[in-house]
Amino acid sequence: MSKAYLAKSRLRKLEAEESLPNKLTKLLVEAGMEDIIQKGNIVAIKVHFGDTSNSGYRYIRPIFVRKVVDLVRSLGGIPFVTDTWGLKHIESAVKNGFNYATLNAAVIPANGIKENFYYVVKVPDAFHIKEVQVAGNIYDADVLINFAHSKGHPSSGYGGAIKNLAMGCTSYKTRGEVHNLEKLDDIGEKFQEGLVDATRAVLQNKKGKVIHINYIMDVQPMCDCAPYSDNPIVPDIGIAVSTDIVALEKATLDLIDNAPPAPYSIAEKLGLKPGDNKFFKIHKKDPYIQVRAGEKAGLGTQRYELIEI
Amino acid sequence: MSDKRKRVSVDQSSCIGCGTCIKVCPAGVFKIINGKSHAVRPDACIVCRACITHCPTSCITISPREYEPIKRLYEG
Repeated sequence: MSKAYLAKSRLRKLEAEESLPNKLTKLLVEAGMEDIIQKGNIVAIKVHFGDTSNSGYRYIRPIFVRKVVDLVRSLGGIPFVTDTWGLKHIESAVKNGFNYATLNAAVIPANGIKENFYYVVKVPDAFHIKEVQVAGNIYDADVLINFAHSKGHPSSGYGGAIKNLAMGCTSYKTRGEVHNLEKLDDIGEKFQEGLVDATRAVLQNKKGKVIHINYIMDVQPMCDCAPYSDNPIVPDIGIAVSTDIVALEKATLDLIDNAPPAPYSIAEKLGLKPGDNKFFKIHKKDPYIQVRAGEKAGLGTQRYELIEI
Repeated sequence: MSDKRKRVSVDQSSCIGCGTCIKVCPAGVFKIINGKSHAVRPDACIVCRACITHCPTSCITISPREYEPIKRLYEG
C-alpha cells in the first residue's frame, strides 16, 4: 500500500492558507519533499507548457509552479522548469506565463534546442520499447519533480503523471515509436504499455529522487497539446501527490470517475454519472490500462491510502 | 483503424526546400517537389513533431488528429 496525498481546491475557510497554491506547499512537505531534495541538488520541474499556437488555456496555472520553485529553493535546491519540443516550445511557454519573471527559475528545453540532447536508456523486459531516448536535462537532473496535468487524451483515454514522463521527458524518436503503437489496436493498450516503457526509462536513475504531482483541475477532455480547450468534464478536485506514480494515477482516476459530470461539459452531454469510467466513455480507450501496466512493470502499486490534508 | 492520422502541411511561401524535414522525419511524410517540401504522405505522420522542431523557417504545421470517438461527440 502506498500513500497518496490530496489537497482539495474547495475552501474550508476564507483564509489564504486554505487556498490551493498554499496547500500545495504543505502537500509536498507532507509527501516527503524535504527527504528528496538535498542542498545543492539541481531539480527539474517537468510541466506541460501548453500548445505551440497559444490557443489552449487549460494547462497548469504558473502560480502553482512558482510555489514548487519556492519550496525547492527554500530546501537549497537549484530548480529549472522544463518541457520537450525544443526552443520553439520555450517561446510558447513565455507567452503562456512560464518564464523567469513569473517562476523565479530558468525555463529551458528538456532535451536541447532541437531535441538532440538525450541519453539512450535500455528497458529490461519492456512491453514494446526496448531502448528509450531520455531527455538529457531530465537525465542529468539530481531530482525530478513530475508536475502533471490530469486530463483526457484521445490515444490513452487519460494523460497524467505517467504520460508527462513518457512523452514529455523523451526525444521525438521515442515519442514517435510510442505513437506508432496506436496502430496496433483500437483500445489504446499497446500505446499505454509503451508509455510505461518510456516512464521506466525516465525513472531509471531517479530512485528516491522523484516526486509525482497530479493537478486535477481543469480536467478537460483533450490534451494540453491541442490548440483548443473545452470545459472540464468534472468540477475542480485539487492536487494529489505521491512518490508512487502508479498509486497516484489510480487515485486520480478514481477521484475523477467518482466525481459528478460538470455542467456544460461533454461529460454532461454524454449523460455520464459518478462512478462511470469517464475517459473510456469519452475516448473509447480504457485509461486504467496504463495503471495496470505500470504495476506489472514494477513502477508501483495500485493499492493506495488517500490522505487529505 | 478508422481514425484519421494527423494532417501535415508546409507553408509553401516560407519553405526554402532545404530538406531538413526529410532528414528528420522517421515516417517519410515529406518530398521535395520543384524545390519545395510537400507533405506527400500526411497519413503516415506519427506525431513525433521532429519536423516542427527542426524546420529552420518554422513553415510546418500539424493539425490535430481527428479521432473518431471524440469527433463524433463534438460533431454529432
